[in-house]
Amino acid sequence: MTPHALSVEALSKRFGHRLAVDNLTFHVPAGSVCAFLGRNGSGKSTTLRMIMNLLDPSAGAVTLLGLDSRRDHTALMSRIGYVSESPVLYDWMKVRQLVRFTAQFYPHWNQPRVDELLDRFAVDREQKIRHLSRGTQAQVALALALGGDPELLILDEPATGLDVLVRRDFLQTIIQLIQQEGRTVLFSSHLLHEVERVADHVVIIDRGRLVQAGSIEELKRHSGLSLEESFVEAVGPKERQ
Amino acid sequence: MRPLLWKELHDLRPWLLAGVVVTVSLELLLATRVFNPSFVSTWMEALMPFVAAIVSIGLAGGQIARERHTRTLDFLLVRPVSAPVIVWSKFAAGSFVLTLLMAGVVALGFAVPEFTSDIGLRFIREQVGFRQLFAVMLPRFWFLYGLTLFCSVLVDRSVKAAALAAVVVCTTAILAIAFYDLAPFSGFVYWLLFIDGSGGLIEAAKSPWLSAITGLVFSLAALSVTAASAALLKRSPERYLGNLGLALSAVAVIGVAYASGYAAAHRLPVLAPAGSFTFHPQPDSNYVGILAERNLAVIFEDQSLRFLDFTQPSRPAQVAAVNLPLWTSSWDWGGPKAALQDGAVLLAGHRKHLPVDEVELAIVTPAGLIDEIPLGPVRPNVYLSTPISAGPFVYLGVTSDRVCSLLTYDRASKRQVASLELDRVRPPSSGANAVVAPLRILRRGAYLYVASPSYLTAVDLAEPSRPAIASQLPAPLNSVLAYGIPRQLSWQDNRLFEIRLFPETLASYNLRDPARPLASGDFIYHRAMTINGTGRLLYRPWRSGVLEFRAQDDGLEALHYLRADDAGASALVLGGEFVYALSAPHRDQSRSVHAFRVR
Repeated sequence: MTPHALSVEALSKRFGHRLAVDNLTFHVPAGSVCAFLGRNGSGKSTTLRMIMNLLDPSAGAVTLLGLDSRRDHTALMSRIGYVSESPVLYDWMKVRQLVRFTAQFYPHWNQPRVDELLDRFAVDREQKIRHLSRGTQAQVALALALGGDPELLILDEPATGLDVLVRRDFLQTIIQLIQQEGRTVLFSSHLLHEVERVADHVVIIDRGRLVQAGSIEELKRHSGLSLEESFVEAVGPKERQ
Repeated sequence: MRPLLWKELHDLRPWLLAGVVVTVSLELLLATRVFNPSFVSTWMEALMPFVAAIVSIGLAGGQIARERHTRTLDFLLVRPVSAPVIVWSKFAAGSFVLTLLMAGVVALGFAVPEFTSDIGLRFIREQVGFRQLFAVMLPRFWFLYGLTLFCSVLVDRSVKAAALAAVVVCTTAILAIAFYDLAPFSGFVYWLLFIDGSGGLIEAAKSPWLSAITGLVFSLAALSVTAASAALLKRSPERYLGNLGLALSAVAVIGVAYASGYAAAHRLPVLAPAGSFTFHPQPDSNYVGILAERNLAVIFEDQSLRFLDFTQPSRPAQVAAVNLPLWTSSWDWGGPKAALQDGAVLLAGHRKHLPVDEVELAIVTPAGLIDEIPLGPVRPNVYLSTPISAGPFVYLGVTSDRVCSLLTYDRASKRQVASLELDRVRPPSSGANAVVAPLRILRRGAYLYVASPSYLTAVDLAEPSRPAIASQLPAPLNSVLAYGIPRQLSWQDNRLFEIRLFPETLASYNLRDPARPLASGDFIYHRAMTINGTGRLLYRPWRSGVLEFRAQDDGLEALHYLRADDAGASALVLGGEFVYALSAPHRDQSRSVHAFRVR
């Protein structure tokens, strides 16, 4: 059996009276590219933030790379890359300064990879972050997330707000990464046609609850539907209620 | 930690730049005499702590909260660096900048050394130097900085953190002022953040021991509160107070402060006056004083006296009013220039006379002026003490031509029968003020104790017509500025007390051998120039009445609050079983005499 790079056990989050994430349990096998799907407001970002220990869960636990996400947070962060939905960087720093600043936190820093990514995205290293477009800032954030050679990469809606070409670059980069042995990617999205191109596993949530989880192949084989059709079937009927 | 330090120092750079610009500009403006010397004094006593507080709060307020608001905190939290390291590196960078800014803030107080015309400033500069004041102030504001950093962890906006810290600071300051008044004898003044009138902070700066101990406690508090910030951020990085939580916290802080202030204000048993008498002083009177003997209280003004009978304290009655035309009882340093013995008032004053005004001792009873002892023409720079009446003799301390003497008068013959030189005024340094003020005299049994500029003298009255010096102790000075300022005396049991100024302390002497008082230590004492003792207990004006206390071992113990619900006591005197307190003028200019029964 493939070990899990990420295990979420009975995770819940309550904001006042509203239950944003409800008893969520799923696993992401090591070496897989897992898409985390759900409609807007379904609790994807909340879940990812809890996984990254940026938010306290009301209940449940998260295991990352075999370690407890809360207890071993600092140790884990050198093995995990994370890019939030709209990443915020220190806008007074130049790209070069930000890369150096970030590199110093990591025990192993893959500068050639960061350089390669920045070159590929054609980012001017002497520009201040505040002068970059949102898309370029997201690319810099991705380059930084990959700089630590993460075993697990967690991306929250990485393609949102990016134009088609940039989005393509993004996804290509992810694919390249997983070609290296043992890397795992979990990314949330609601753009199903793109997901299908790169992901091999999928977790679908709706209103904070798990709807589907498993490999895309199996899902298609069982249901005989495309991913998009499966998603609509899983999420759609509730909308009509 | 290094990259974080670099980033934090970059974030705090505007503060550093502003600090340098403001300090250098002010220094230049002072050097070019744009400000007058009082600016430096105001800066030291009022502005410096205020600016230091703003700097401490401003530096820390945004350090976490702003990063949370702009979401750059997330950037750090998903790196392999723990929340405590983030907090401690912010603290380290902030502390570095705070140290530099505080150095600038304190240095301004010592700018332009020739500004020495201001007494308060001279006092501070005489007592402490830059290094001492800096050493005592930095830990205090370091703690305030740490506290604000903690507030910064609690909220999501720098302005909220600063507001919360400001609420805490203002509340604490108000509470400190309340406690400062409510705990007049505690070492509380050494822990204040501000330079107060009695110089608690200066005292703390002056003494290496106090400086070290208060500095250590404030530093430990700064480190502890930062450790709490680190633990809090680690435990739940995104849990912070919303607006309601913030408002509730502020209300809670104010509530706790109010409750503790209220508890402190009501910690003493309150005694109500047994009786009160209200009167309207003469409109042209400069001075109103009070004397008492058993159930008789006498209010004396420049040209009149009122005799009040408190035999039935609930219904005091004015038994007589005596006018003394052309008299003035007060022409130096205030203080009671009168004594009451066997129902007769002995009043030192001067009478308008041609060609020159005369100094006289008047003896007045309810029946009127019965006798006068002439003391000679009025001359400038001659000061009289309170007359002390003992049997057939009257003793009077006189400072004239810088010589302090005790004169003895025979009441019957109205003649001076003895003169005893006690002291010659010798300012301890050329820079010292040439303050020459009346002597303070206290009689206890067969001895008089006289506080003169240079000595505390015990005078033996074994032979009443020829008082003799039994012993003299040099008067230690808290500051050369205090030389010559009268030191009021009082006593309790075997102790003699002396109020010293700059800063106010209550010096204690042991009177086991009444001829030879032995210095036995100082008490912290402030905001009171007046003290009176029955022998068993001591009294001083306090809040809107009188505080009853006693000295015990090494401390002063407050016993009762004699509350008059009044404008506060301006003078108090003891007579028989009563403490009589003369109130400050009421709104309608009337004044009251309240008689409190001594337990």
